[in-house]
Amino acid sequence: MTNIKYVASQFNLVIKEDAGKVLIFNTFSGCVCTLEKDVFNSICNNIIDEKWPYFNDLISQGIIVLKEIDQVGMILQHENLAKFSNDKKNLSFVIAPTLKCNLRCYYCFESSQNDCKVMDEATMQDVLKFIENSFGQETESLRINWFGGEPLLAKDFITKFSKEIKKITDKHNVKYTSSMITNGVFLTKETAKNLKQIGELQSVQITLDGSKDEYCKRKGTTPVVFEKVIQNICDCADIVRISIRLNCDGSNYNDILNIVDDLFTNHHLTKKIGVYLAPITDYNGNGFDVCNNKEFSKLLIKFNQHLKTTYPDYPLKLDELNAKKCYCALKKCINYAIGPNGELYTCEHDFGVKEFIIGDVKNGEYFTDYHRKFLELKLSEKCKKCKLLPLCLGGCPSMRYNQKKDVCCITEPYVKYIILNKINKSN
Amino acid sequence: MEILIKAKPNFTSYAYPCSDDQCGDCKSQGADGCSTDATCYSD
Repeated sequence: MTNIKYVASQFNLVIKEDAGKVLIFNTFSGCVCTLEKDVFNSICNNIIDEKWPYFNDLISQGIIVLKEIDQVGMILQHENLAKFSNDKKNLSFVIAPTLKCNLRCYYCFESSQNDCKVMDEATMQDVLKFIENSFGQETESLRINWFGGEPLLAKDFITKFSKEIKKITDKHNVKYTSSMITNGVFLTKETAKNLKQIGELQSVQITLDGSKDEYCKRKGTTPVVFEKVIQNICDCADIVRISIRLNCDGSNYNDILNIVDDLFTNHHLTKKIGVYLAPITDYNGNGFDVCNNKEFSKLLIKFNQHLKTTYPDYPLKLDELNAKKCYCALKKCINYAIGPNGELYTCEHDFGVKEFIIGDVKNGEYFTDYHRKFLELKLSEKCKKCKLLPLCLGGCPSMRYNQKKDVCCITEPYVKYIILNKINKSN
Repeated sequence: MEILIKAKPNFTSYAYPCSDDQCGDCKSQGADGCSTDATCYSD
């Protein structure tokens, strides 16, 4: 008997068709399965027979869903719950102790690199109080992500803050860890050791845009600085986990391979550091060259293949492709980015922009029009119809707000590449 | 029908997978955390 209670999931993505069979990945449930082509076609036409021996599997794996369910509505509702959740079990803050920076990356979204202010003692005490007051009975962990400017230009501040926050987390029996986004210039062995010991520093992200000449050109610096960063990476790789973000706009792709080879072959870091390709993004719509999403996803596939074949010892981890409940930590109301004056932002991309301040550590949230609009961003009709919506949720909300356009963060070819690799691995 | 990778447990539930401290994905992926643009990264 034909069952009209169920329809095909909107999120069944065909990975490949072969010998009368279709390989499907459901981007919401995470299921990967094969179906006979005629069965799949039948499902697509919502002709579903409950006598099929695998009928219950189709339901449990999310390939078919109750026809009453609004699948996009379900995703939006899940996202809302994550955004507005008051669950404080794991808290996360981004802190920029200064917006000053010693480098001048042409693509930087911040415009306050010359602002020499470092968070003062009184503001630090307010930040500590703000964080302590944000703890709930259920709080188990606190993570601070140090950001800037260049956070290590405020190294003494970070050391002092870390000692104080440790006292607070110890008092509340909360596990404290930190991470840092740094250009690596000041990350000496001694600094890394201290921050690990005093500040529970677990991981560091350092950006390299290519080998020496390209790096200097893109970051407005000198070869001495480049060499210092490489030396620091080598010196600190055994102390903290280092992820090298390789910023790519397409034109520097080959040079990025050179720097990876330098790190892995000449400096023997294959098993000690992680590398990942990241798109250069024009957050503020300044008009510089960037890779579009399709071009970037081709490079990403090429890069993964390159790592796999050239450095078989490198522990390459492929994306898990989990459905997102919330685009990022800062999209959640309980998490904030905190600037050097104790000002609160909803996103680190807003640092230094007065009209994007949504509160301060002394007075809390201002409940601004901007924050409300940011939280209430609507999905475009195109996104609502997209099979990749569960993996993307419309992309970075900050970019969506500023650029008023879709900013997809994943593509079908890339998803297909990952799934086929996973299948081959498990076989 | 052959299931090659099973659906995530309770994938329709509100609780899945936002039990971690970042974007809701990184830790469940075994990653270190979020990078600046919130792309999950791992070591």
